[in-house]
Amino acid sequence: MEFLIIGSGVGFIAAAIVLRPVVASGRPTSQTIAAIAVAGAVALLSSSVAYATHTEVTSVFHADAADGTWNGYRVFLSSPRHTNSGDKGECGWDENINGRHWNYYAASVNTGSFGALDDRGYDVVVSPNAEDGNYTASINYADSWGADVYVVTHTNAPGTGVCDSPASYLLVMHRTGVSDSVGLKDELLYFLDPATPGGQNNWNCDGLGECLYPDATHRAYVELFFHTNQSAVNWFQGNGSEGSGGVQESWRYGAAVDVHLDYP
Amino acid sequence: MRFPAVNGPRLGRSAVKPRIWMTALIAVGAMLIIVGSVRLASQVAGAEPYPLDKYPGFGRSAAAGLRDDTIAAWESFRRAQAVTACMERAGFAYALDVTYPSGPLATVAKGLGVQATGSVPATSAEQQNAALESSLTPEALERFHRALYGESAADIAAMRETERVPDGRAEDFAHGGCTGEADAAVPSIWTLKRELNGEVEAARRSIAATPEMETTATAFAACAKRVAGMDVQRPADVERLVVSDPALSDSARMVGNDCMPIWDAGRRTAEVAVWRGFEQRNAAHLQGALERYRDIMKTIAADDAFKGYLEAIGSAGNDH
Repeated sequence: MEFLIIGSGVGFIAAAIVLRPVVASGRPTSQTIAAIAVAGAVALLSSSVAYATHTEVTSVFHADAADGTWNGYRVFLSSPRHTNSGDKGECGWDENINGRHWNYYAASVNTGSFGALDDRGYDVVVSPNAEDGNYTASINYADSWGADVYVVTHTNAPGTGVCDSPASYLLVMHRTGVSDSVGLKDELLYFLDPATPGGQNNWNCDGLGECLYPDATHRAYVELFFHTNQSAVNWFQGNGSEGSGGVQESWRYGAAVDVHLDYP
Repeated sequence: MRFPAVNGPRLGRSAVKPRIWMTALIAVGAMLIIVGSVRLASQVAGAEPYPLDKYPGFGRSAAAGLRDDTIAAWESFRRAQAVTACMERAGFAYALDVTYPSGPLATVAKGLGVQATGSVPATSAEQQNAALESSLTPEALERFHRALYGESAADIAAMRETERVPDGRAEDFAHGGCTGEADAAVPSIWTLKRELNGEVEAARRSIAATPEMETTATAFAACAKRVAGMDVQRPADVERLVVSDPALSDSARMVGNDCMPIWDAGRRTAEVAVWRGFEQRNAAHLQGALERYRDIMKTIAADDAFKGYLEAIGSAGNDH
């Protein structure tokens, strides 16, 4: 961040120097174009909001904290890898897209509130969302990398799995007997519930591989909203506009992790 | 001289405004350079080494984190080699599948001075192994999963579909076969940290109760009151307030900008003291890690197979 600030300062002065003859002559020159390009590059570099299209199957994504700001914690955000994603009664995007989309934003996009996980100093990896059912791979990646925090993000459906179902609530699950998991679950509920559709629920996820096996003790499993509920889907998608809707609330993951770990 | 004279003939009334803007640009630029330099200098000046940095697996600074990443990636590579060799003995051409995230792996490659050759395969190892699996007869698939995980093909298929492990298998499912052999043959840099997790977590929680953090909380509270009129003790209070009253977002942002540096500085001092105590209490374990990984970076730097792998995957990483 410090180098970005200094670089921006140099950019401003360089732009002023290049623009000096134009100001004096009153005519635009090739230097004007260069100055505009420099200013544009500086503006782009300085921007903390970098929206990206993540509405498709994607690979591993890594967001690390800016130089000198790493807080020592590694966070792994696991995306759904359902083999039948898109055939689970989704009213909107496929479940694998929903989870990946949210994770990407929570990891790296400052939505104008209080910063994504990387803004807060965390090193973050987001798993792929391939339709391969290979949750073991996600766990292995996280364990090999030494993840301290492991959060799974899925979206929910009732047993029937058809659109349109009235069921709608946030569900956050924990590993029984692991206090770090219970604590993280509590903070996720606290921060997510006011923003997500419907009420809230929580119970253990002791039978699920991604709840049992990750080495990270700070782990939780989130079912963010019901993808079978049209109004919940509308909330998440924000009328389909990239960067709007539910993902604007993705800073709440960072807040929950920060509060749970007491702002390391 | 390329620049026209400052007091040239075109400098009339209309040129005054642009000159003001130029002066403003220079002033803003200079201010940004000063602010950035001060922040950088304060970071460097206040930097006290983290006591656990020297122990592999406990890196807290960026440099020690990169060292840990390098060792962890190398160990993953060696485990993958072991799995591939084991699967070959079982009769399967299993591609070398290094389970390490691509971003950190690219950083490791850069740290070792490895340049990408651009010979990235069209499909990842994970995709190649998935293709191999799908090409097998049911009998061969059964042998494949028995060899790789020590589990039946039916149980693996059920887990992939439902995410659930078979009843009664919570602790050991899919940890056998070639995977289990490789894990046993190549222990992880993170093992000691996991074994000491109870102590690590107790130490982490104790940071909040240190005298340094009490002082820091007082200073943070005074800052929040001064800049935004907020009655809070800790950063958590600020974000909790925003959850219950989103109208406080702007005030919270002001507190975040102005008061978090106070918190971060105090936190660092407190953290260093707590980890020093942890180091003393666990000296024998930590010395063991130090011994085990003595000269490891030289070994890694001399491992041509590993560097060759990093060269081949390049910046694209090991996943697509």
